Amino acid sequence: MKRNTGCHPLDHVHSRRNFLAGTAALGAGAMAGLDGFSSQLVADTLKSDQKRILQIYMQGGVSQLESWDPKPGTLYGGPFQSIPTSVPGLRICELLPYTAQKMHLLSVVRSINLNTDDHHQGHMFMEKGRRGESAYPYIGSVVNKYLAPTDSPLPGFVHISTRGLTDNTAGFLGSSYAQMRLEGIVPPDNLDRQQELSEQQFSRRRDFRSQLNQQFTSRRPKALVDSYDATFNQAAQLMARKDLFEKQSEDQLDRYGRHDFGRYCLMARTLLEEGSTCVKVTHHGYDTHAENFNFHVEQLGEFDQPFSTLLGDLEESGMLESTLVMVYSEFGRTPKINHRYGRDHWGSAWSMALGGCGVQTGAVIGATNDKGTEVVDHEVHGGHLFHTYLQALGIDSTANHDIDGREIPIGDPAVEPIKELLA
Amino acid sequence: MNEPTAVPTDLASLPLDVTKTHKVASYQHQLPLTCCRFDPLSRFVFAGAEDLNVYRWDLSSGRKMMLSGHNSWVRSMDFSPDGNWLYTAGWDGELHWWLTDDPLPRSRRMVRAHVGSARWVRVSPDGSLLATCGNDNMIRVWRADVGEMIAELAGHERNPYAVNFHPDGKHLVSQDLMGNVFIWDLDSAQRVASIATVMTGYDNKFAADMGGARDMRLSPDGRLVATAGITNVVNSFAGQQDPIIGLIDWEKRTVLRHLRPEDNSTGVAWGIRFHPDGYIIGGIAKQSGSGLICFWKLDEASSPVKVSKKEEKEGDLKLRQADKDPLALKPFHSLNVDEPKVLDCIRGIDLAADNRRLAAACFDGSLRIYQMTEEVSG
Repeated sequence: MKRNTGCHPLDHVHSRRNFLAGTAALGAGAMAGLDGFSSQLVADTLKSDQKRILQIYMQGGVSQLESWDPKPGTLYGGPFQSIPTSVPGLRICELLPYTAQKMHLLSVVRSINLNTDDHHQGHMFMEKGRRGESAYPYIGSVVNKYLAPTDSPLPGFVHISTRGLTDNTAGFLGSSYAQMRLEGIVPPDNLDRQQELSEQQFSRRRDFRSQLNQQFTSRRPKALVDSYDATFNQAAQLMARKDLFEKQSEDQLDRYGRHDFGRYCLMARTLLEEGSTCVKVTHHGYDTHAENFNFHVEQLGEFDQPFSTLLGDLEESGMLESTLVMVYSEFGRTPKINHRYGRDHWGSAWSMALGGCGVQTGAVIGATNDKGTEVVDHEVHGGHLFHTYLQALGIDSTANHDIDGREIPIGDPAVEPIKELLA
Repeated sequence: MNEPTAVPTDLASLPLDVTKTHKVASYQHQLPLTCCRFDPLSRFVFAGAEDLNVYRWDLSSGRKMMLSGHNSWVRSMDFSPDGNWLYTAGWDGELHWWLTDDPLPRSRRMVRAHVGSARWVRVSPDGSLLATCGNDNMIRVWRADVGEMIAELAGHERNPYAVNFHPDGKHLVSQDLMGNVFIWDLDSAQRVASIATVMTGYDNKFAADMGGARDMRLSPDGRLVATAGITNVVNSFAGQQDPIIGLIDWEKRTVLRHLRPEDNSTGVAWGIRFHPDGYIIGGIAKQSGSGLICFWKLDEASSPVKVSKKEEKEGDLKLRQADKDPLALKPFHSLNVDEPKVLDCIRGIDLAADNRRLAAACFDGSLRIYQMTEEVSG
């Protein structure tokens, strides 16, 4: 296995001039595509059926009791009511009235037990499908590697967030498949070509750099060069599509909302429409050790309408058939309410929602007990979910990554997908 | 659970001495309490809880009775001036009417007051009107006799947390999540003043606001508005912010003083009462989980403080920080309500009509009665 070259430079600063400066010695060779698959059959299947993924990450740990698994009137149920949804018999928290009307597009998993209450460990388990520290890639990077077309007009894995600078999402896949993080909807620095440089000159510079890269990598380990080359390519893709960062439509903002999360969801839709294979949007602010209820009023009030609008738009355009939507956290929150009206970390009995891309809709997988303290039916963890995401996307999660001849299982071989969700 | 405790009700003859405040009774519920009120005739003390009910304890016998009718927590209640009616606002959005001394309490009327939570209810000085506020950002005014809505006041852009009548009966005061205090004219149903306070904070790390009134009272003469809450948000998700009671000069429409605890401890101010003998009483939940009752002198609190031009320039930031705040006033007496091995932080306080007793609703489920006199043996 090649060494991991660390986090992606674009995770830090998107400065095109910085990328260009001093890199004449670095080479091209990003191999985005299907070359890493050990099964040619799977690769052929993927080429003929392009799919994509939308991740909505509710950072900090949204409360399952205030979202997907409400228990009003019970010991730890909290003050909020449940409301009916577009799925007969399925009720979710009253704080999600718009999403409730779109639940026929989603399913809920109410029986997640990660057996950890740690932010980082929980997040890694949900992203990588593996417990503990490891060099395994995030789901977004896996999808980027196996589903993003080589001629993709945009980076394959885009993360819209205002935090999370050091996520090494690609792991042993190499940084070519790492996320490109956008600071909200703010355009990266230096997106415009230098005025004194003509298009022709700029193109010749790129060609020259590419030529030097090929010479350089013919005699040396290519991971570092790949990393820089991927960065150059992404910068070039963004330069070619700087229109993505122009003013968002007022009509659309009326629908999505003018706050940050509304704008991020609108940007996510645009990126998916324009060819990104994985778009992740992080909504911060769910780590509610104090004032859990007031904060969930605020945060879910911000989340609900933009998310449901985005989901509805994907459905209307037909994209939902080929777009896996996952709404998740790193864990849930304690049933027991603390002295600050807060709920603490709770990784042993919590929920998420997912849909699209052929995932069974309107289903409720698993259950917690009346108090919400334990899973009592169909317990699953990040490994089961990881298999489920990939199989919904048409990736054989039981196959292996081929990392320079070494085969590494894509999903944890000890667990299986949630079959009830795979139509 | 503690045995029911009877509280002596004939206290008016005992000299008031707030520095001698001591606990005389404690009633227990299985779940944390959310708020508390004495009825105007001091026959009962009521508390909301983290369940669907309100609880009534008879002060003469200690007997506990459940008032069942809401579908969520009750965090605000008030009484008709004659003490006959109890009105409760719940996070189910409902406003309920109860007979205070009903032997078998049941809800006598219910209106759906707000979409989302009904956070607050207050009775007008003459008892004819009720004011509520809720998570639909509305202030609503209701006829107390029939439950008909007669006015709807729009203008808060974020959730109003509390509303109260001015003693003149012609104005309302409300405060929202962003700390904004609005004064409303009841006849025209229009906002006539807006006062910014430091009782809010934006947590950059978590990208969320925290603030608003946890209690709101007006002095009986109508010259002061007091709101209890938080400021100086450091880490709102961990409850790391400062408790504060903001005093507003009604005539000048300006913030007069900031009442703060002696030790600048972090937490939330959940309760405030004006005592007719010239005190302001505050109930505070410390971040650590213990409770604190503070006493400030009204004459000190209502004296304007000269803020230098330099301090004015430094603006909000300084006003938020307890050790730099030129408007800060520390209590002359504080009472820790800590008891061993319990988290007894205060979620609400009330003053009995005899002006000798305080009630404190606590997280550990206890409803504690304190007496502000020399301890009487036997």
